Amino acid sequence: MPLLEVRSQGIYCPPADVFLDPHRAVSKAIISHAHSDHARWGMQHYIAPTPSVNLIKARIGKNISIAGFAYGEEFTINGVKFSFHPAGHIPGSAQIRVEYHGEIWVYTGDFKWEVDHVSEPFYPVTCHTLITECTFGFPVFQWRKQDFWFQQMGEWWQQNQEEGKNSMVLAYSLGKAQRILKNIPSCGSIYVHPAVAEMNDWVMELGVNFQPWKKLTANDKPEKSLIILPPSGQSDGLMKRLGEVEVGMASGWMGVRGKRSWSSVDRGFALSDHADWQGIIDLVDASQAETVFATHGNTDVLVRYLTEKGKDARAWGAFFEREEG
Amino acid sequence: MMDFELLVDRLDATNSTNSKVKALETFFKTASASTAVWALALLSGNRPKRLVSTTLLKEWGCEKQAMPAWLMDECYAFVGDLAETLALLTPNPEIEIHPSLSILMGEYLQHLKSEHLPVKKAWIFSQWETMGPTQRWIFNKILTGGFRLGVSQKLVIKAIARVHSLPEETVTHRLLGKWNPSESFWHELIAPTMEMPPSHPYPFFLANTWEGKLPVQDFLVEWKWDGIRCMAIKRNNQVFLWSRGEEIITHQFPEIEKSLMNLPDGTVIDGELLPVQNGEVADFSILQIRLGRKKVSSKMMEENPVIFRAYDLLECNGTDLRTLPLLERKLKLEQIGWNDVSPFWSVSNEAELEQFRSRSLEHRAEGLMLKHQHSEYGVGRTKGSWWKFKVDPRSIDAVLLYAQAGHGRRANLFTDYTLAVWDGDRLLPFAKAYSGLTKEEIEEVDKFIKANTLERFGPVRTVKPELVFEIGFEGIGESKRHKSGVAVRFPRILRWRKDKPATEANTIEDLRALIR
Ligand SMILES: [Zn+2]
Ligand SMILES: [Zn+2]
Repeated sequence: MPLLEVRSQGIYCPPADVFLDPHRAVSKAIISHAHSDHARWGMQHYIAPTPSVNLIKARIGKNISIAGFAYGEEFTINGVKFSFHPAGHIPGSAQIRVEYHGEIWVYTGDFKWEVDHVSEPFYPVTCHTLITECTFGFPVFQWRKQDFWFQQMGEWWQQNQEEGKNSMVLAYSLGKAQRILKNIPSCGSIYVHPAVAEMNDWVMELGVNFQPWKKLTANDKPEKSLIILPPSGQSDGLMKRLGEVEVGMASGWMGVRGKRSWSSVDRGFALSDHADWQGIIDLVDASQAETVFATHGNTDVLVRYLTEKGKDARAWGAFFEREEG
Repeated sequence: MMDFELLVDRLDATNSTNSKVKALETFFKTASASTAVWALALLSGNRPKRLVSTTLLKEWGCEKQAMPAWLMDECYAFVGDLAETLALLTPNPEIEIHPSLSILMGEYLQHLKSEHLPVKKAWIFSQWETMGPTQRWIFNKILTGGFRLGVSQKLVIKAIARVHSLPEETVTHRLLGKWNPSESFWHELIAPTMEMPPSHPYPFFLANTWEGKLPVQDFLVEWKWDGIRCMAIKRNNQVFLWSRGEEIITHQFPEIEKSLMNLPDGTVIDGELLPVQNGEVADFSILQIRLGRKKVSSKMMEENPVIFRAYDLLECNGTDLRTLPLLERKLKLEQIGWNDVSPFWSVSNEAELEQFRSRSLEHRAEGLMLKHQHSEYGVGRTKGSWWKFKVDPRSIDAVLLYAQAGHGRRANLFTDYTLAVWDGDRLLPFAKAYSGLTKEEIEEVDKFIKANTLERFGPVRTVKPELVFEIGFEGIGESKRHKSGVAVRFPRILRWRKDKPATEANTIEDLRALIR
């Protein structure tokens, strides 16, 4: 019997009788990170990396039953050994290592190699079987270093300032928003959407320091400022209040012109919290896995590519909705 | 290519017209003549032919990236554009090398002449190895013959004019017709004065849709004829008839050519080519029979006669009259001896204007033109002095932007069109219309679409914005749901405006003016 398998509720570990990142209500769920396509509402009991416990509570509910384990700390369920290892994706994100009778499986959750100064840095974990995400599983995705994008973003902000405009960056409220706040060269006041502000508070509790920022309230009238907003946070009223504003979007999808022009923003920054194609291939090599399961994204391309390279690779159905890259 | 790359990046990074002009100005201020002229050529669509077929380029991409063909195809299908796919797949070099645009294009032209494929391939590979991401994209777009950016020629002209302290219309004027991206052309373009070939037309002055609000007594009123706006030129004892599509159509209308020869030398007339039947202006369709014919038989001329009706005199005895007040030009026009001058008059109030407008159809006109009596003959669609006031304003000239295949019998033909109007220098889609064209026209448009696809997204194709259609609709209103802010009811294609270049399609302001 395989150590992990696909059930209609999600990834299942039969000997431990637990699910990893299930998307339907189950009794016991091990959660890789606090994004809503991984940490869902309705589980009787949650197990998560310690730094993500408060983030998950903030998103799902204060009163959920949840246990936290530190990175590298081992816990056992029905004789199956589990441990969390940093995934570098967002603050508190983890890969989940599963070991039973000497056989080791690793589920990456969402991951990236690049050190972003807000997430705990990723490192590969050796295993027999690797379950990897492949949100950006096309060779056309080849990330540039984040320094490049933050320089671009900083210059863009400055340019807009010179023209007397506000700058609005659309970014996922947990992870991307904090990454921007942490890394963008300061050149004025920064406002964030209340949803982002709440996540900032929890991330600061993890020991991350930010440059000064302010929660955007109905009375604020930002001028020449940077406003960080989740993509769903744009409203007509807000746009009116901001006056002349340039809208930018920070997402891996912005790396492709066609996708960029459809998103109808003024400016795209191809800044992603996921691994690019080479990043996925590098992990497959570094993990020394004999078998690779691809999930979460464009699985077919990766699977065929690895198969042709002589790997035992298979696709695991797409459980996850496409998320912000 | 550093400077041009930077320009492309900056143009790409903004939707604001101001920032675009600023970026263009910065570029043209510092670029060498040879780089500037190539940039102008690429930005205004005057680009060289593609160097290799896309099939071959794809093969070479696979070879260079050691990638199986299926993987390339998957990537291409995902990205939707081959040039970009290849640019994204190429690894970034340790050190980028930036040849100047003129050197790159010089080498390009040399390889274009060569038949030797391995040489072309080696050259392309060596470029890929040393270029950064933006450079690769530009290079690949040129290779595939599809380089295009979201800037109109008007913006480019504006920037060049500002940098070299020339009037915009001079630059516009000098760019009309065919030119080569050579250094010497660039020097002529930015020179204080330039010798013009005798065929050189002036840019047309265009009208906006009448919005009222102005005192009607200040305007000269004339019929808005429904034909083809043309400019007739006689210089050096030669005559030229230019359509608004910047095409010389003299030889398609030998009878007009003949009578133009009777004009004095150094004459330029703005007027309308009109079909006539029994001495009256006839339906536009008759004119279409005459259009595009290479050989015109006398029978054809007899059965489908046309006339050239003069509106305005732009040049007299070789002197440019365009800055004279309209009324003076009109009076000179009547003395020049042309046999058909469009009548004009004045009105004293709105009611009178409305009366004339309601009688347009009796006169076989599509409405009225209001031109300020003191107006100069300007350039392009400058707002303020010339207005059109159509009888049935519920039609608009729009540019074909996206196309999709039809259903059933028409499944192999592109018959669903998404049409757009100008919003500044951007095209804004506003209506989807099914073809109301003839079978032959549908096939012709279909061919165009297949040969001019810029991007594919599933079944939808982005088409080179070139074809202009007149779209009729039943109603129009404001809409928050539509990107254009306007929703039209029952749009249908009235006709294909082959006589209009895309730049002269209507604007979003024209469309909004129809909401009352
Ligand atoms: Zn995630
Ligand atoms: Zn995810």
